[in-house]
Amino acid sequence: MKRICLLLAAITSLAALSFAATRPRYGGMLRLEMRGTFSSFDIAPDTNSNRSRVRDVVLRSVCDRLTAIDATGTPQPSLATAWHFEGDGRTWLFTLRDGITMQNGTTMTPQTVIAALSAQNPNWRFQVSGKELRIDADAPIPGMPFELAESRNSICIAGADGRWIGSGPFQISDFRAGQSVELQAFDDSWQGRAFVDRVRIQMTKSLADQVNDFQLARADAIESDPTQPRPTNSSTGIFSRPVAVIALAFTPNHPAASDPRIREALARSIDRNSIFTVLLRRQGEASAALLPEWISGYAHLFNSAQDLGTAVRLRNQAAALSTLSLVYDGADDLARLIAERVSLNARDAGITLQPRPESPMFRSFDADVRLIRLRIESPDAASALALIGDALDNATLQRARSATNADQLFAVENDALKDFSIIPIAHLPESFSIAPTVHDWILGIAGGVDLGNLWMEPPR
Amino acid sequence: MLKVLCCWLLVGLLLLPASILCQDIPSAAAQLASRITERSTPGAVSIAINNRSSLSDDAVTTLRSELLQQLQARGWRAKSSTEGGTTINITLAESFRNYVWTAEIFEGEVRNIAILEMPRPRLATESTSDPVVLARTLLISSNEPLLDVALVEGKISEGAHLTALTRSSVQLFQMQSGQWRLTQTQPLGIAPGASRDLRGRLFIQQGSIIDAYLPALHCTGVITQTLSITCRQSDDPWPVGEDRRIEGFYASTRNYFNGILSGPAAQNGTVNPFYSAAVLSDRVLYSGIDGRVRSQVNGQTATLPAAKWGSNIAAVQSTCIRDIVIAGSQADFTQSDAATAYAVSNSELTAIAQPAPFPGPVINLNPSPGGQQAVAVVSSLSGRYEAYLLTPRCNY
Repeated sequence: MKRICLLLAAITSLAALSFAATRPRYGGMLRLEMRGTFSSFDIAPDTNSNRSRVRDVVLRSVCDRLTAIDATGTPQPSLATAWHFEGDGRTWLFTLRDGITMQNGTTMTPQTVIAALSAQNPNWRFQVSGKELRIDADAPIPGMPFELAESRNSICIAGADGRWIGSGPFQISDFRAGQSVELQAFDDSWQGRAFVDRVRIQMTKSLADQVNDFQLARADAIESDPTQPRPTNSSTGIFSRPVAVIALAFTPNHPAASDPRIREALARSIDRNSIFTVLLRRQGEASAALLPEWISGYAHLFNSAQDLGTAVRLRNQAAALSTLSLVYDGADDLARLIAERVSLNARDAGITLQPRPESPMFRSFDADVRLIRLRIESPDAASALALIGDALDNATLQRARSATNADQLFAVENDALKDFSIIPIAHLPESFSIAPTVHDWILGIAGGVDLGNLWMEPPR
Repeated sequence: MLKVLCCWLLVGLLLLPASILCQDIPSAAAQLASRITERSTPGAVSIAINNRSSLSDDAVTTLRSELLQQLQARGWRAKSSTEGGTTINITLAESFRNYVWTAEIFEGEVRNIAILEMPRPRLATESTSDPVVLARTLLISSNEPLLDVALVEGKISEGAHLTALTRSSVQLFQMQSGQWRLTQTQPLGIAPGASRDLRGRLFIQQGSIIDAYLPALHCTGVITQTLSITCRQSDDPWPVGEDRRIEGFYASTRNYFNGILSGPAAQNGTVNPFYSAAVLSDRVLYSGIDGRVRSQVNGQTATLPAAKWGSNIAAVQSTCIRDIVIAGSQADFTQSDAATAYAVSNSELTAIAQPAPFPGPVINLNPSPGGQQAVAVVSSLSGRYEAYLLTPRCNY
């Protein structure tokens, strides 16, 4: 009887061992290809989503922030272990984590944090008392823990050649401006060493080249886009919620579109439904709002229906109009398709839009209108609107930082959109295709990639 | 005894979030009524409520009744159809954190907005790590057997239309004051082929062109404000997905498709006989009459042994997972059914949502125009026929 029991126990142990194969493995190199590129270590908001995405992948892997947003959209401790505010939310107090080793071997100090934050927030005032950092702002910032989780508030030190040095799971081991960046696991990361040894990110790769490399097993993870079919049957598509807004933004002080009736006519001429159905292949959502519904809850209040009759009437009321130039990111196939579709819609309303890719000879500020694809980094509506305001240099949207409820946020967004100098078109998810050998690839609630927790199967 | 206790505990756990919500609804309705009254002078009013959130039908019904009471208490009254006055469109929406209820108050050309936010309780079905919640919305309920139901404009909103196919007619409904009201019944004129398990399919194109398929019968027509259709005896193939990429010839004296296909994506044109199909972006799954689910990719067919599904499957899309298969269970027609959402990768199937239970067997399941929702027709065990809209929502 005892022998039978031992035999059963052995079988049970073997069964348990076979299930243990799903635990993460250490080692290996992840080869990631992306469209965007960056050539300097700048972390200011960027209206080019491809550039912003590749920069955020690297920045998030190298530098931590005081807070981090979890899968439910709630701020969690990161380099700060606790926080609270005083009064009306102008003053915030953060307790800094002890014993954080930076990738250059130094220990993080309150001065490290102040230097990083003050560079991006010149109007904030800082005071240190022991482990506690006090931040005073000119206006209440109810969403401060969300703001501090944004990439622009990464706690980085500038290295010898300006490259980022942080406390994150990877350090930059090689950087070729505009071409590639290689990351190496940082053994002393306070959250534990990353599972993969290295990550190589090839930049400036068109989607077609990415798909080609993926099919030839030269890449383990690539970006995907509604314009692209699934690269292989065995690949897995990873999608976030809609976290990028596609919009038209008029360049201020260009006389060609100074008549608001022309801007409104253009806004009403756009057939968002066909852009969503045909060009976006029903990924994301068509919208006339800056924030997607999952963040604000009120996006449906902005009328996104095409109204060609009104568009033509408004166009006819306006003065004679020359051709308007519309610039888009030449590396973004989807942007080109949308720009072309918008110009067709505009022509039906009697407006001539000339789509042109951005180039050194024709910069975005030369154009009357820009097609922007802007990543919304925060799931907090106030922070997200303010971040869009920062990227577009729009003071009305920046007021959202002090908003405390949906009524106020709607008022801010409505104010910013009412003169049609910004015309939202759609919201798009972030999406990647990954090889079957890559596991635990997780996109954050706002589309951020967490390279520290993914792992790879060993080569067979 | 232990089994009974466990059952009661389970029922209690499932009902708990809903009861908490129901307790909150009167105070929420009072707050919304108050905000509406702050922005407009009370008078004659008509109200439409559109639910875009995960609130249940019961909660919406309670809210409607509470809100009307609260508005009446503040001096509002229902306006007659000929009377001018205020129109209020209320949308029950949600962000990932809160319920967001918006009221658009129209007085002539003037639009005022009132917004109310409330923390969204984490419902039992949402507290899991499932990436998708399969939301279930009751569309209509009927004593007459329903074969299929379709939203004409693909949405539920004031003035929108819905059609229902029965064995002898096509019915047209319109959303009026938040209720689907029957506005027209158009007889088919010709009886479909006899079957002990009669099936039918409604297919809407461009929000107005309607095709109705029954065994050996094909009806075509147009919906404007009214419905006009013409039927003829025919063995025309039926669309098996949300579009006409693949059409299947229906065995008119049986209850399945005979496996002969047509259409631009029909590949080699023949598969094993099947009850239903899920047309995904890169493959088609067929629920075979032998109980097996087969996957066809680039003309190659493979069995999916892991698919323990019933005979009803349909494909839908969502923003977080592109291809989703909604499948009924393997219960027979004597038992209640449930629909579950799955993601498909190679031959692997992953359940990505908690099952959505129904009060009886699912007798028909088809994707809606646009492919982002599906409609399930259920023969409830109480004897009524009910149509439900199934929407995969990303579990924020």
